[in-house]
Amino acid sequence: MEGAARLSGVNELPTPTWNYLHINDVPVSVPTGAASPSYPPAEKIPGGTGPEASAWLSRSADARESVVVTHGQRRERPVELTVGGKDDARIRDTLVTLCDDSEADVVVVARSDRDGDATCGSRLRLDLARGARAHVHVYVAMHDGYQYIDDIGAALADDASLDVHYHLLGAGLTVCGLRTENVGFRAAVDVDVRYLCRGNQTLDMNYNLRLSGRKSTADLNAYGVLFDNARKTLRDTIDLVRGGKGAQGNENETVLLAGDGVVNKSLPVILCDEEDVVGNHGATIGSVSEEQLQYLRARGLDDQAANALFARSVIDSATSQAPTAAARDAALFAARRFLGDDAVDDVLDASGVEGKEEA
Amino acid sequence: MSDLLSVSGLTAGTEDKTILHDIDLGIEAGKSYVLMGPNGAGKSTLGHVIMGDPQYTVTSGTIAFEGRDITSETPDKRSLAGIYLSYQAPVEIPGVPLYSFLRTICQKRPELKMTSRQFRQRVNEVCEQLSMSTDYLTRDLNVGFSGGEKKKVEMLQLLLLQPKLAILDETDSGLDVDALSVVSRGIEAYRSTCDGALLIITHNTRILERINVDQVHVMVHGNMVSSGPSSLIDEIDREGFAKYEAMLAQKAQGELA
Amino acid sequence: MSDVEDRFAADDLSEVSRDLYDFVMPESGYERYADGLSREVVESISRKKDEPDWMLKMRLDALALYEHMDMPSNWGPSIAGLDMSNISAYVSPKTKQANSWDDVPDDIKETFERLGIPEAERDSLAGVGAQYDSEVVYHNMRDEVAKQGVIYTTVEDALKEGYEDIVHKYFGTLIKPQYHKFAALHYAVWSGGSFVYVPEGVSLDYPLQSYFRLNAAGAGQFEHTLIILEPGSYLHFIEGCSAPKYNVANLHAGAVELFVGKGAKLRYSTVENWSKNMYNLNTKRARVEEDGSIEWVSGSFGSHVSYLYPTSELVGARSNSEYTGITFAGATQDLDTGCKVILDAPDTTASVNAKSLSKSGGVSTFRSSVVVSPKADNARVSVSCASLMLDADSRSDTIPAMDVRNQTASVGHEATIGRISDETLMYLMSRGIPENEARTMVVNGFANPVSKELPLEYAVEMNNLIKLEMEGAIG
Repeated sequence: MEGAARLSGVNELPTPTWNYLHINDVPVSVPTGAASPSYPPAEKIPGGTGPEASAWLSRSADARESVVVTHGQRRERPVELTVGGKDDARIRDTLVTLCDDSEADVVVVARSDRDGDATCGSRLRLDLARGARAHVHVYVAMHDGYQYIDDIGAALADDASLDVHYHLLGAGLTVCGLRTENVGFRAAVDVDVRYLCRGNQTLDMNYNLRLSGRKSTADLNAYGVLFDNARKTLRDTIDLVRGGKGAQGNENETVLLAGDGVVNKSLPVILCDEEDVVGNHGATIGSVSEEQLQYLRARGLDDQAANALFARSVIDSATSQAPTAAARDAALFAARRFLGDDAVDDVLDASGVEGKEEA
Repeated sequence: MSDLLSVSGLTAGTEDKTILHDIDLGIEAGKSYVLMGPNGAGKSTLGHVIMGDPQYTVTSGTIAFEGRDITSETPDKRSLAGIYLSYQAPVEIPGVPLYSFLRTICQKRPELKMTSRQFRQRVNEVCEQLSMSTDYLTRDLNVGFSGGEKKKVEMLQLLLLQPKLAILDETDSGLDVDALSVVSRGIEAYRSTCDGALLIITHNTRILERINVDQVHVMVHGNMVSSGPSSLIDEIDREGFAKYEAMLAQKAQGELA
Repeated sequence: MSDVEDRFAADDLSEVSRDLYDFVMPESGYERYADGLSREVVESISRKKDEPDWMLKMRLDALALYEHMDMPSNWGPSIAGLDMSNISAYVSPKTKQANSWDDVPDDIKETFERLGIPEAERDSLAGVGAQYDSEVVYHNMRDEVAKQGVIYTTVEDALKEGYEDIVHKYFGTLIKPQYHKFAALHYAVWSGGSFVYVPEGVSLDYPLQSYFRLNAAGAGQFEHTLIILEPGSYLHFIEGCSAPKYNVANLHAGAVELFVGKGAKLRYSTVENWSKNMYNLNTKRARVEEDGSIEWVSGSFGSHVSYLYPTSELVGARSNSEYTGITFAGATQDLDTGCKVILDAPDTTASVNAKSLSKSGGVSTFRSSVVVSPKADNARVSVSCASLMLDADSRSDTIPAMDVRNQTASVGHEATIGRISDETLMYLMSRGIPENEARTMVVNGFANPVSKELPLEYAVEMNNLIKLEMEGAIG
């Protein structure tokens, strides 16, 4: 018999703020299964969702993998980490070790065949040695009965670079945490987040980009549209750690509110313990401007069609960037849900991807 | 007569690379000089090194002003001694009104002591000379000023401070005809009121049409390769810097051999 | 223009020194209650003030709350160095409140003269209140202002002088004792402060100012400010504060409740300069009705630890909140400041413009929350914060929270952090300004958007405080 446990400190802000705002973390209940709860061990590379969620994912994983990309190697096929589908694992726990000057793609896809009430997840650790390059794609497109926890932790040595592309296209509850530690000189992290959220879906994100290496950089861009009663929280922290001289961090968020009952929470945090640094943050939260709407009306689009147009840009990005068949299927699943069946062919044409969806 | 400014054997650069190689340059009081050279020749760097910009390190050689070695002095001391560098891209400083900035820098110089009324009057005169609206005086220093306005602010400071040596770093770049004539007028006014020495750094010759130039220096790749009378200006105007680049290459070969 | 000139000229001429604020007057003959909190202390304060029963009940209820509430533990600077059992909640000089400086005891009068209060009163204020430790020792307002029906007194006197109904209606309704532990503490032991009532349509040409001086070591100051603006009125209220420095902790836990009526406008300016042994756990909150406006102007320079977030509740349509603040954290300081805005009506607007500076190991945290409720159609908010790091020993954090629940709202946020660029310093030095002065000039420029919102003499005071911090003279 499975019980349920409440995980604490999930997606917790590195520096909490007022408790009454209920914004410091997200409450998550998970099935306990046979494993008994225990204190999470300290991790060498911590993840973004926090120690408890991370430990739970690790304990509950039904697929474990350790991938090593050797010195100077460019791994041809992406490391594919798919969860949630009929023949997929439910929870994956993966370590990707990139040796000096190596390069690899990692693709995480969370999908579902039919509605259910499962919790799926992925715990991914990336250890990037000097000059290593990793490109990570995360696709989430599940039925509303699912909750999905995505936990990434990465450490970057000198001149290493990591880019992460999120397409978060819905699940009942999506919890997405990323923690990067740019230890090395000129280590660079680039995070691109696109999301859509509708109905009563909840999307909770926590990005903690730590810059402790000299002249290291971090950039984060987030863009998304909220429909209906969707609830979204974005915590994005640039942590300019002492010793990281010449570090630069930039973050920018744009949220489009397109529903009567939407709740948008944004926490763009800059922590600074070093003098010779630059940190910038920008956030724009609101609806499509009256000017833009007017323009679109003049082109024959009503307001709903206008909002769909902005959602479409996220779907187009998801399909055109999809590095694997599973990722593309996830994008098309989302296209159907957000834009309707008719839109799928159109999206396919636009993305320049040949052929029909795979079964 | 001893030089006002005397640069000898100057080698300088940034942390990563040497930009100026063994430069000699002498400037006599009251005379005007032009420093020419293609883009990237190190002309602006030389101006900044003379001013004492800490982003450059002097590895050998000396800079003397009025016979005194100033190689390791801070920029503010050099400024008070009478050197002025007009910036190619003046810095914006939010929250500091232009007028109070001008007042502050003038008050640092005992020779310019005047009452606040006299000062106001003087500033208004200079503004008029430069066809500059006094509205700028209440605005924050250079914040949101156009390129031409920033250059006028540099001329305004030059005329107020009346330095013994003015180094004008590409003061003409990016200016339209009207602004250019204002700047030329400013330079003339500086020359006539305080008989200061002038070192004009430029890579085009338009601004020089109205100025009496005593001597021209040519720099290529961080080396001082030639100097001569003002007729050099026309020659460079016609023929460019190819000849000087060849001279440098030859010299380098000679050294190798 | 001459205004601009004067501001900077004043900065040039005056030789500022910390002695301006850091001097101690003898405490002999004062009435000082035993350290710590007890029912007895609370009852003694109430008895001394001869106040109505409801007030005593409120104090005792608040005390009970205080004893059961937890300290905030998971966020903000540590207040572990603060032990209430070492703080005297009530210290009073042996004097009656005067309305002429001649009637104020010499040492206290000298204190306020050194702080420039009587002079400012003569030159540019409509009225002044001066509090010394727990009691207000001086209160006066110009006759012409009084004739317009403006009331400016202490809450204690308002209760006795026929305004009990008004006080009862508003007191403790905006900041409730349940708000947090130090709000509860405040209501248990509050003493002194200001009561201001501006009738409908009355506009004060000159500001009112209250100045708070905490002279006694190991004491707490718990003044209560209650301001009521009737529809269409205007007031600029200024509060200043300072204290000599001690080796023991002092505590300031005041409460400021501001009620801004329809179409009324209140500007509330603070230059906070507590000594660096002070725990400044102050609470300020304004409620704004239709078309009303609250403007917070806040300069935070003093205190060892600060928790300070003026809060605006915009409950009326088209009401507006503006916050302009600067915080300068130097050695031994951990200052957690910012603001909160709740937009709870259509077409409300808010702007937040915050600056912070950190130097010599100081820690500055900007913290804000903007909440846009489902009722706030077409709400417009802009938040801007800029932080300047003045050396590598210091720290500066920016923690802004936004909670938006209305799709027609528009919220913009921008934050930057960095240091004074080498290019900027070089440019100023190349014009003859020494490096340390160049830095001070840039910092004053950075602070200028705040200081230009203050009346001249306060802007000058603020520039002087910045200068002191830049010279590292504040210990």
